[in-house]
Amino acid sequence: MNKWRRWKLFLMDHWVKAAIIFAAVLLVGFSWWGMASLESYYRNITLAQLPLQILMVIINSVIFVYMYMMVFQSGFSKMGNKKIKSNQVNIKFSDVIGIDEAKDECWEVVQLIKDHARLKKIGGRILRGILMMGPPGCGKTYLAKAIATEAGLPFLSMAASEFNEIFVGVGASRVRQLFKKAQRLAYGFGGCIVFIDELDAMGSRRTFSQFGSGEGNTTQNQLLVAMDGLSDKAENIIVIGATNASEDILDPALLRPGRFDRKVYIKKPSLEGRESLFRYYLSKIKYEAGIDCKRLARKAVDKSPADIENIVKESALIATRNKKEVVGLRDISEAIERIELGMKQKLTINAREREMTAYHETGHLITTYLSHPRDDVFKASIIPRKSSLGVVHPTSIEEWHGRDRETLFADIKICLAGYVAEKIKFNTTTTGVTSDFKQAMNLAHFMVWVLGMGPSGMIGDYTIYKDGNALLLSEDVKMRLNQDVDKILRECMAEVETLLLKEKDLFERFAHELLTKEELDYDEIEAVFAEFGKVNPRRSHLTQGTEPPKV
Amino acid sequence: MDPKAIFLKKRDGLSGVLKGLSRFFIILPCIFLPAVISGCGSATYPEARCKEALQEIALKEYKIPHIEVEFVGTTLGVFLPLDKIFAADLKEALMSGKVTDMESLFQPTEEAIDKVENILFSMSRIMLSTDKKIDFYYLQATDVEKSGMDLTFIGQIDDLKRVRFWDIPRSEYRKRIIHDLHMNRAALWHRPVRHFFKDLNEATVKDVQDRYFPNTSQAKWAGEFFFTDAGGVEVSYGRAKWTILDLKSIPIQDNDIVVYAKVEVAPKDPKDTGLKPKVMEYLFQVSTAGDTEKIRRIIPMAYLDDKAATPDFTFTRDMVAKSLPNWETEFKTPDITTGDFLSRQFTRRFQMMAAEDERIANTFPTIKLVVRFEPPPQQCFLFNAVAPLRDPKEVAYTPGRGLHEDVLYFWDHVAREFVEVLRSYSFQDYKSLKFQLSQGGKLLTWTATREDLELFRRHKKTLQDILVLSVENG
Repeated sequence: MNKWRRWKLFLMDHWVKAAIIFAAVLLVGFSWWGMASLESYYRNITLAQLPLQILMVIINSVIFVYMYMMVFQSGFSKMGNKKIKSNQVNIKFSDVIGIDEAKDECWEVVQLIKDHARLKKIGGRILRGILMMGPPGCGKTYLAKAIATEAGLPFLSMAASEFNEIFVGVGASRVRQLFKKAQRLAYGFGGCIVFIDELDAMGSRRTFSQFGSGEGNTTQNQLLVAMDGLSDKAENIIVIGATNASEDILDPALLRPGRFDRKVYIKKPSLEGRESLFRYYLSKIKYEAGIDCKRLARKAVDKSPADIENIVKESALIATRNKKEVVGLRDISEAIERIELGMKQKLTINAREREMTAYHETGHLITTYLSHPRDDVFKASIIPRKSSLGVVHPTSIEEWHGRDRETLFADIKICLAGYVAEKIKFNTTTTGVTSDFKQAMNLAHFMVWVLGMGPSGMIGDYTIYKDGNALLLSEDVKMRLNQDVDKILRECMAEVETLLLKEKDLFERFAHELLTKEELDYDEIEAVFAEFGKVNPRRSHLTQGTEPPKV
Repeated sequence: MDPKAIFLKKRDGLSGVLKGLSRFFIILPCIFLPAVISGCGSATYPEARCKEALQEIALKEYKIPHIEVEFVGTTLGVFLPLDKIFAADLKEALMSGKVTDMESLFQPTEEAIDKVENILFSMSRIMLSTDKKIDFYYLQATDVEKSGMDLTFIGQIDDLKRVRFWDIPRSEYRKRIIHDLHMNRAALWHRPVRHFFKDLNEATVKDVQDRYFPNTSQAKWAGEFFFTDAGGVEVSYGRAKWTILDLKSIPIQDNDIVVYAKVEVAPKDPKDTGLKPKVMEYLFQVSTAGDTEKIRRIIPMAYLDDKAATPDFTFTRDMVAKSLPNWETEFKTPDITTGDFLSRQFTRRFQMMAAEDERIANTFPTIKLVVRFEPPPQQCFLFNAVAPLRDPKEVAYTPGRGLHEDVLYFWDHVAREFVEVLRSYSFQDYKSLKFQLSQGGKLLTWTATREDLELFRRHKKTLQDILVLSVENG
């Protein structure tokens, strides 16, 4: 009885081997029988083909094993995730410039990671995810790397788009692989930072339909599960996601506490930030000692750190092309101009059209300078760039995070100034006003329909009354709103006309200057206005916080 | 245990994969080795068993009871007697005068085609799986009952192998099989004798009496052909089973033929001890009148020496024994050589070419051509064609102008086909190709050597360049 049971146990343990041996014996027997039953000629043919068949079996088996490895052992889901050790990242917090608020928030995270043991002792829980949101080029990746360096943890970096693949299930498989790898590293190094760039590529709101969820949903679900699963592990795995998209785009499940617990908003650098950034990037190249970084920072309002890096890089190229040893202020200005306005184009323009362009741009120039409460004219030009024949480039002398009614009015007037200038001078207008009108209309519409800035006093955002694309408003309301829009435009146009007629000499002078020099820089513009006794209305009040000028 | 762990263990990495593969490659030879060993056996049809094996296949697999098999040189010959080869009755059709297409007369019956194909397939099995050297096969299907026509097939074993391996297309293979149609006189002459022995086996004593011995008393022949029991009493059916072993014939006068028959006689009932199996020989005097043959006299060979018994028959036993090898048979396998086979094939190919090529068909109203292979010392192929030009004023060759352009065109095609076919057979055992034609009582021969023909094949020389003329008085 015991013996039989042992046999049975042995068979139960080794049934696969036994089955294979049995199958092999059967196969051998059938091969023998099959070959023996063939006539000698066919037997010889079969034998002659045998080496080739064996070769094919070997090739097929190698292919099979390879495919097996690739498909079933997650070969396809292997990613190009870059495992980087903390000492290889080597970006310190001190290297992160211009985003101080975000830096402070992240520093807190670093402290938490470092004091993980203490936190656990208290009963607290480590952050599992940090979501960095902000415009492109503001240093989200840079900051994540700095966290990894300061925390002394390995850093796994991956773009969310890398999870997407043509094969169904591969995205989810890659997520699993990523977290498996992170767990291994965390096990070895005491923690790991997983950085997923452009998170919106996989984290956007899931869609559900009667035909089942898509591949994107599956990948995101796996990410949600993986992030939840982190709690089961003692190791520190912190997922840092970065996105340019707004929170609304991302799936709420991804943003709930326990997943991306902390959201770090990274904004464009402030004046001081920009100044530090200019100083930092200029320190890497040779530049004229007299360059004032503060002045550059003023010129680069609304620029991200990446933009500033690009400006410096571009200026170095310009200086090299100009066979200069060091980068000068003029090179940097040219770089800003090139990045902002685009490359100059060699376009043959006849005298009449050139003249019309000059007066058109002069209209913009004078209106901007004399009526805009915030923007200075950085440059005026009648050299064709991109799709325009001329340009007046206004730039804010200081950053503003909102806009008031006067600014919007001024913006509309600037837009209409080109049209008014053409009409005053030539008693006709051109297609050059297309984009100006479009912008003016948009602004006026926005003021009336959304911001409650219309002259009739109608308040509220009327665009929310929508059913699809159709507005759920009475024709009367719509008419009144549109009348307000029209009124604003007319008022603005009248004011511009008055202004330009009043400053006729200045108008003629600038047009003449433009026709002569083609381009006028900030200093030249200032000089002409000074000549006519006009003082920049913005300088004094903006920096000193006084009342805005009457416009 | 996870089945996939046999070859791969999870997380073993490359070493695990290699280990799995090494196991796999150990198992692989174990599976293939028995198959390899089983293939080392001898030929399925050894030389000694070839004839019996072929007859056995024919009988068991295709229910064809009687075929004759013989080997001559390296040629396997098979004789397949059929009751009817052609669907149409040749004589009736011709007599009716309604035949417009002669080819339609020679359409084999479906049964005949099946039998021929089955035998050809059986022959191929034997030829491919025997240790006997066989280069050619010859199948003769003879209509022994109706027309006496032979349908013969000659082929080479290498062609059979090549077509099976798609080395040559089927269309080319068909061109390489030589099939022919002949009249077999011996088959017609032997017909009454065959019927006679069949009747001895199957017919009643009365029927035999009526058909063969109308003027002879039953007592005289019944004992000789075992239509009596052991006690000598006549029985209604013969108690012997007659099997023909050999039939040969020789014409002695215009309508008189002597047929030699060697038969085996054995009792139908195995319990019949009164009749011992034995071989007997007879001579049959057969007369032909129109399309019917009739047995006029049956002479047991033993009676030949008794002049009193056969006073008006001039043959003696010795004479028959000596001349018998030269008597006509229904079936004789030719000893085919490659040269001979190729020359027969060329004859067929060139005939087909002459019929299919528009220019040749228009230029020569009638073409009779034959290709022969002259054995050593000449060792050459001889192309002989009687093909007068359509315009009687023109001749094939004039000393001044040389060969007529149409003749040259025809020969050029012949030579091209010749060199291509020989190349595909890798046949080198010949010295030259000769074109012959008779003109003005002289035999004109143009010779092209093998080396020159090779240059011609490669388009390095034209046919005119390589032909050398010699003249003989014909």
